[in-house]
Formats: sequence, structure tokens, C-alpha cells
Amino acid sequence: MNKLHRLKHTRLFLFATGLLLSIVPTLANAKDNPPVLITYSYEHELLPKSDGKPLLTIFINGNMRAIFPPYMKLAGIRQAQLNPDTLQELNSLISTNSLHSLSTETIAEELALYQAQQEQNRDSHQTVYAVMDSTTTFIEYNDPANNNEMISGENSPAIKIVQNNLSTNAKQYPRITTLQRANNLKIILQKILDTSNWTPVEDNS
Amino acid sequence: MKTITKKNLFFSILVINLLSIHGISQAGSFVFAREDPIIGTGAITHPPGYTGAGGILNIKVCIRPTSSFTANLEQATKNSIATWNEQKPTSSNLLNNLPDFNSIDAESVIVHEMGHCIGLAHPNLAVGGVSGIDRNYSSTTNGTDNIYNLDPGADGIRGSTDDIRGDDDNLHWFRISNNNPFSIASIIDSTTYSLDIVDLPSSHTSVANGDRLVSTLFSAPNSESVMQQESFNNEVQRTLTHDDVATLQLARSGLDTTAGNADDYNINLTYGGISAASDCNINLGFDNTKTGFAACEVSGTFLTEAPDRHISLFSTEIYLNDSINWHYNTDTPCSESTTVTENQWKMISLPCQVGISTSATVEGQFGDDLDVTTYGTNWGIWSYNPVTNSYVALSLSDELEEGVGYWFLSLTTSTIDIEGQYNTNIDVPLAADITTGKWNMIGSPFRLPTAWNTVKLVNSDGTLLDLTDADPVIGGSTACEDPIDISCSMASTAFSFNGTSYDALTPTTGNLDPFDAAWVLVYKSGLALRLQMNASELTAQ
Repeated sequence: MNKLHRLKHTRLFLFATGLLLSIVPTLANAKDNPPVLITYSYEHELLPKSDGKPLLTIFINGNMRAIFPPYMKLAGIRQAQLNPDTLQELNSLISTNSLHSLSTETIAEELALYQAQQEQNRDSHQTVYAVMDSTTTFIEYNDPANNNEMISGENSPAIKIVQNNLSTNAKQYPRITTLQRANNLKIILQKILDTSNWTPVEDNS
Repeated sequence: MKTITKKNLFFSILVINLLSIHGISQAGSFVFAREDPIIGTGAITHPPGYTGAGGILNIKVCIRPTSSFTANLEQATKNSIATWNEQKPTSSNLLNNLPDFNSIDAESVIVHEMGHCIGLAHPNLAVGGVSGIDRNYSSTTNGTDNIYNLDPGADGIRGSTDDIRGDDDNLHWFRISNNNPFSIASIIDSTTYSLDIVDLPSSHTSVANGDRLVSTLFSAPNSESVMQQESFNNEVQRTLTHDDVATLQLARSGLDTTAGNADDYNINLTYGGISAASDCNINLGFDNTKTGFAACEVSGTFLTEAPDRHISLFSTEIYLNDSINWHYNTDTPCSESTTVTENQWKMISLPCQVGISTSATVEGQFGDDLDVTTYGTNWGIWSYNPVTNSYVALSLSDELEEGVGYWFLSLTTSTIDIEGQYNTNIDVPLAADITTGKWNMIGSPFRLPTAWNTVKLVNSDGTLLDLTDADPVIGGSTACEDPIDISCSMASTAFSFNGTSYDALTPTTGNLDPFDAAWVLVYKSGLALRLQMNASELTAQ
């Protein structure tokens, strides 16, 4: 009975989520929705993917939408307005290209270099470190070179950052500057998600 | 055969590589064990503070004062500590009974993370690039071909004994005699548990793990290792399974992985309160910058050289995300009462799990209902020792156990209540005598009646017997009737006292009700009794 209930609930939620995901790019082009500035999401390996994941979308005018999965306190689809200072901060980061095309690939390149150096010094007595039950962070932001092209979808020109255990790894590898910058961006976005005054979206149609 | 290649998983490997020098997120039954020339697949990780010297390992668990909602975490933390200290194997440990359907049980998640913080990893294939139901396969490396070989075998269930895993190297310690993660050996060390698939039973091709789907294959439905990497809303999973206990006890056999030697240890987790004290070994609290849900961050140092590497943890941090709709367990979600009639003997049992959030002592459970100053004169409790065939008058400080029956007598009519956590299926050891049988006084551990004909007997090799297997009808009489037939294990009829006489519980009729106990006559040694939880109890709040 409960499984059935959960299944139904999940299906409803997925339907709603899918609806929104399909709406996001549309919204970006709609007359009342400007292009997307940045999106932020994360998923955790203890939780089933079928329950969806939190998704924050920030539009260039500061409008925000968020999807919170059913297991979160704010479950549902919500909206809020980003405060001007934070919007300015994000705009500055992105539109002035101060992220310097920070991406999954650029982090990986720096990391590979670092690892090659570390491997030479590796011995059998150093300490070991692990994070059990990891969180994967997803950030997509618009490449300024694309002149406010909408970001969304697999073929979008958006720059993507996907990293596992971003915060703990940033702490673990303080010399990997791309990791530090990605984590700083994530901290800003997480704070937005945690502290904004989210109100339910009553009608998406 | 489905295969996942590194080439195809470029993206995931990037992620994993972030941790590949000093740190890992790759799974194994022990944290850190992996395909690595310095660490190795056979590495065993021990709780904080283990140096190789045996004895009691005191581990203090504290809630970080800087965390939000610290008070909410206290009960779940204390309960998790008690659960790991108790190390009691259970089955049917998946309940669906939270008051808020969408909430996630904090205690269940903390038990899991605390398991990591004392050295245990996931039994399942919790690695980058493997997703969805494929994560139910047992934990392995990807072998020399750098490919995870994933074939569920004829039963179609991932993580079961007939999986076909190619050259993937096993990371999950299994019980040599039966490869059954829902059973446990009496002695747990490298003579009874192994990583080497050569030691598998001859008909098995792969190591089984404690996944919930696999549990149905071993007649232990609704069971899952707490270290399995899954969390669902409305699900409660607060008690350990046999596999969880066995893995920890394997580590407890010390550096020589042989039980009974001087390097063996046991753990004694204690609650250090909301504290930043430097002697806190495991720190816990909310921090949304560290995790999107829950995580355990560990550091370790090597105790031994390759190839049999042992690692001791020295820094262990549990992080939770406070945006989750957590359910916080109370100290007594289970509270059941019954009336005892004046001057009438009653066989009683405990319908709730005691010793986790509530005291297990006679005084702790009955002291709020009856005057402790008159214990021994106006009321009393007796246990039965089947070995000496004698009754033992319990003292107020003696601890009571679930699944065991007791005699209770009060000179006044009283209402007594038992408070604690929800019980799950437990295996009650039975004393035996092959010629005359031994009477054992067993009790119901449940809140709802359980049908006697659902009782199982657990053999020492982990196989299960129905009552009719334990006492088959042969030539018109049962095997345990005089004369005793060699196939007799336990008499299938039990006897429960109703206040004036005994009621027979047979393979065809009778329930063991909450608070009730019964006599069973056991002939075969090494048996344990597994009372089966009423299905309604899985969802009862």
C-alpha cells in the first residue's frame, strides 16, 4: 500500500517536475521571462533519482524558480526574487567572464596536473581520506560569448560544472584553484537556495 | 552481459579522480578498501582509536555546537549509539510507519553514517558510473579489464548468489559456509568470512549482499543491511542486520583477523553531548555546505604494511543537510501496556525494544508502574535458565531481553507498560538436549499478534526450518514425540499460560499475543527461534 502510494506520489511529482523542466526553456524565451543566468542543482547517492533533485534557476532579471523534491521541507515548485546585491555579484562573475570558463573540464585538467605531481611523492604511510555518501553538484551558467543565449538541454552552449563532493574536496585540495572557485560559486548558490523567501508557484500554465 | 566502460564513464571518472590520491568515494565493505597498490582490496578499517591493542575501544560521539537544530539530533544520535553498541542482528528491519509520509527518518540515516564512521562501507556497488538498480550489485572493483561486469544471473536479482561478475574483484566479506548475508556465524573472523570467491559455496558464482530484494531469496523479506546505500521517505531502518554486525565483528577480530586473540576489541560508543571537546571522536551536525543529504567524512592512518593492511580512523565527521524534511524519533515511539491480575502468575514478554532509548532493567521498565521498594515482596519477575533447569529471581538492576519469556507475579492488579523502540525480527538462541529436549521460555517481541505457524527456526548454518520441518509427521506422530525420531529439531507445539492453564500453539492454530510468552521444547543444538512479525506491524504507527 505504501509502496503504491509512494509510486503514485513519485509519479505525480515527476510529472510536475517534468512539466517544469519542459517549461524552463520556454520560460526563458517567453515575453515575461528573460534568459536564464545560472542554474544550480545537486543529487545525493543515498536518495533515489526517481524522487528528483533540488533545482534552482536564476533568470537575469533576478527572478528565481526552484524545485524542491517531496522529501524536502519546501517540497514543491517555488519562486522568489534575488536581492539586487547578490544578483549583481552573480552577474559580475558571469558577464565579465571572471569565472574564466570554469567548467568540469578545466577543473579536471588542473586536478590531473596536481595528481601527477602528488603521485610521485606518494608513500605507503600517508593518511587516507574518504567521503562516504557523496553529493554531486551541477552548475550551468551562460557563456558570456553567447550573448545571453538561453541555457538548458544537452546541446546548449552553457558551461557546465559537475563535481562530486565539491565542498569537501575544495577543502582537501586548497591548491586547486579551479576547485576553490567552483566551490565559492556553489556556496553563493546554496545560500540563495537556503535563505531566499520562497513562495509556492500557484499556476505554471 | 551489460558492461560499463571507463571510456563511457569519462565524466564519472573525473569525479572519482578528485579523490583518487588521498581520498576515495569508492565503496567496499570496509572504508578505503579498493584496487590500489598501496591500500588493497583486503584492507580492513577500524574505528577511531584502535591501535592494534585489544580491549574496549571507547568512542565518544558529539553533536557540533555550531550545528542548527542540535536538540533535534540528540535522541537519534543516542539511539544510533546504542544500536551499534548492542550489535544485535535483526531481520524485517524495514518499516514504513512515519507519521509524515514524505519525511525521512533521521535516526535511520544516522545509524548508516555512524557505520561509516566506525569503518564500514557499502556492501553494494556504490561507485561512480553505476546508477539505479545496478547499484544493488555487490561491491567490487572493476577488475583487470577496467569494466564493471554486470549480469544478474538467472534469478534476475542484482547482488544475489548467481550474479556473473567477470573479473571484478570482490570487496564484500561473505560468510564462507553459506554466502547468506541474513545469517551470522557464531565465530566471526577470517576462518568463517572471506573476500576470496574461491571460498564461495560451490553452486554460487557471486557474493550476495544485504539488499532488500536479495532478502526475499533468503526467506528474510523486508530486510536490508543498514550499510546498503538507499534511503526512502516514510522508511524506518533503525536496527542492524546480520551482515552489518558480522562486518563490524570481523574488524573486531583485530590485526590477525582471528577471533579470540589479544588484539580483539569491542566498541563502546558514548554520547558526549552537544560539545566541541577535543576528545570527541565522531562529530555530527547539520552543514548544508558539506552535503546535500548526509555524509561521513573520514581520515585514517595505516596500522600495518601491505598486503594485509589495517587502517585506523582518526577523524570522523557526520554531516546532514537541514533542508531535508527529517523525522526525529522520540525516546519511546513504542509504548504498550497490559494489565496483570492480582496474585495470578503471568508469562510476559517485551513488545518493544528496550535498551536503546529506554532502560532495559527491571526497574527501568516497571519502576514507573510498580513500587520498587516492594519488589520481591509485592511483585517480582523470574527468568528460566534452561541449562540448569531452574528459575532465577531477577533483581531490579537485571536487564530484560526481547524474545525471552518471564514469569511475573503481582499481589495487586496493576497496569504495566513497556516503552522503547519498535522491535524487528530477532533470532532467539535456544538451549537443547538431543535425548530429552530442553524447555525454553520464549516471548513475543511484537506489538501485534504473531501466528505461531509462521515461526522459523534458524540453523547454525543459516538455513531456515518451518515448524513442520523441525517436527515432521512420521507414521502418524511427530518426530519429537516419544520415541524421538532423529529428524526432530524442536517440538512444533508450544504452550502459553492463560492464567489458569496452558494453551497449545500448534502448526495449524494459535497466536502468540503481545506481552505473551510460551514454552518450547528443543532437541537440536545450535538453533535460534525467529518469530515472524505480523505484516501489519510493518506499517503500524
